[in-house]
Amino acid sequence: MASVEQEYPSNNSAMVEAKGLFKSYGQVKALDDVDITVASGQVVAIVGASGSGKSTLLRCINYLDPPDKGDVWVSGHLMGMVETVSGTRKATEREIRRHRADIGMVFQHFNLFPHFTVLQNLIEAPMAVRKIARAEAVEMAKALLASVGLADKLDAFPSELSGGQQQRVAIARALAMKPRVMLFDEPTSALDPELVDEVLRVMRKLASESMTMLVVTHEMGFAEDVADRLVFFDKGKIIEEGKPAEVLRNPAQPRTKAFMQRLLRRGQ
Amino acid sequence: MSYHDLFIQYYPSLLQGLWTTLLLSAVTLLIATPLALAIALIRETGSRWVAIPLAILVNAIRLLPALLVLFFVFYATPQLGYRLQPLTAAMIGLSIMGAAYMSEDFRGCIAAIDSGQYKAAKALGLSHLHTLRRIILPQAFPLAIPPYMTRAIIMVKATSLASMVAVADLTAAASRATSITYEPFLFLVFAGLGYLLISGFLALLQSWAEAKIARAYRLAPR
Repeated sequence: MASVEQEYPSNNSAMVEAKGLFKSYGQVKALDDVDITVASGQVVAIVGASGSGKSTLLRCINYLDPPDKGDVWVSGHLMGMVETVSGTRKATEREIRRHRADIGMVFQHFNLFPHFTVLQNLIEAPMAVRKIARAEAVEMAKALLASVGLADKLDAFPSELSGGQQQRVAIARALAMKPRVMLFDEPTSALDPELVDEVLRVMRKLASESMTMLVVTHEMGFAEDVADRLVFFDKGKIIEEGKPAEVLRNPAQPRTKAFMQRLLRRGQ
Repeated sequence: MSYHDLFIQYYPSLLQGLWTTLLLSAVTLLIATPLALAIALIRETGSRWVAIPLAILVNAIRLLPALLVLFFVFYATPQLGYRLQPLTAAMIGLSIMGAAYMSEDFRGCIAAIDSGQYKAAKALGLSHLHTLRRIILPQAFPLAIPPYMTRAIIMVKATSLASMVAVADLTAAASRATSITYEPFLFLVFAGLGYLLISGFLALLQSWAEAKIARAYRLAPR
């Protein structure tokens, strides 16, 4: 690999930069030479058929599932590597964990801890990973819950909440780690249609507060309104990207066109 | 002799046998439980370089008859240079057998926890050990109570195999008294009651634990 100095993102405002990502599961190429750059404060919508590699990209960015090949920088830091005086070396599991903690992730199925109350869900990682005192973590959790409209659910268990409320708690849980980037993996796909908007509202608010966001979604309205850029995945490659309105209304690639038409038909 | 006289004559040895059975049960459970938990955790979430040899070992043990394992520990280890007291040999053999079976019970409970829980914990930067201790095991624990208590009851009853390697447990005491007096009814009923006492206690413990857990976890979805 070339020296890290020279490979560092030239543009300092790039919050996430991935170059030449490859990832296979058996014979399936989930990522096939993917490059993506997301500037600080930018919102990128990631769209494509299921199995096209969208979610894999998110998991490679936070090294939940490290790429087979390629480099990921988050906030100028090369994931999976550490710099020492004598050069770079592979990061230990502990070091990867520390970097991963800077990247928030929200899952399709919320993945809240069911045996914890909402409050405990929010303070567990800040206390264990960031070593924040309990009182401080609780204060922060209360503020975050208020910001997602769930100030009164502090002592509730996840099973007492609707899907939309659970996903808002999951967003607050990720934010409690004060991440530099938020990754959303189909955050509204598991929700009843009437609960989608309350989650999207929280995400819009987050975008307006200049959070850098990568959002895998099928919500084209959200993509068009909120995203600065839309990238379209097909068979592990980004085959089209641009302003959401342009890609949505006037896709250049036949595959993108076919996908958008299917979505429109479904929407009618 | 009346049953009363027979009982007076043999009850010291029967009581001694009951005590030995109780001791054997407690020790094998105390050894097998942490061992089984460690095996299950390593096999479910650890590096496969340790998991695969462990899987082979567990299978080799659980596929063998318990009595053969006991005979091996008691009769065959002296050939390797370790002469063990009967009670020690029985404790080792029964603990190994119990741990092999029990690790499978625990493994099932750990595997029942949604993989999304690991992903969420990992994404938050929690360490593997922290994830197991705070996220996975507390959720697996309520699931483990019925199979664990059933396994414990099976292990208590399996301690009677120790009588085959010269341990004077409850079964050995009853069968010795029977063969001397030709009064099987009295002594076998006594032994039966002794086992009922111990395993009955465990069955009650299970109901109590399940009720307690049901209250504590009433809100957590399963």
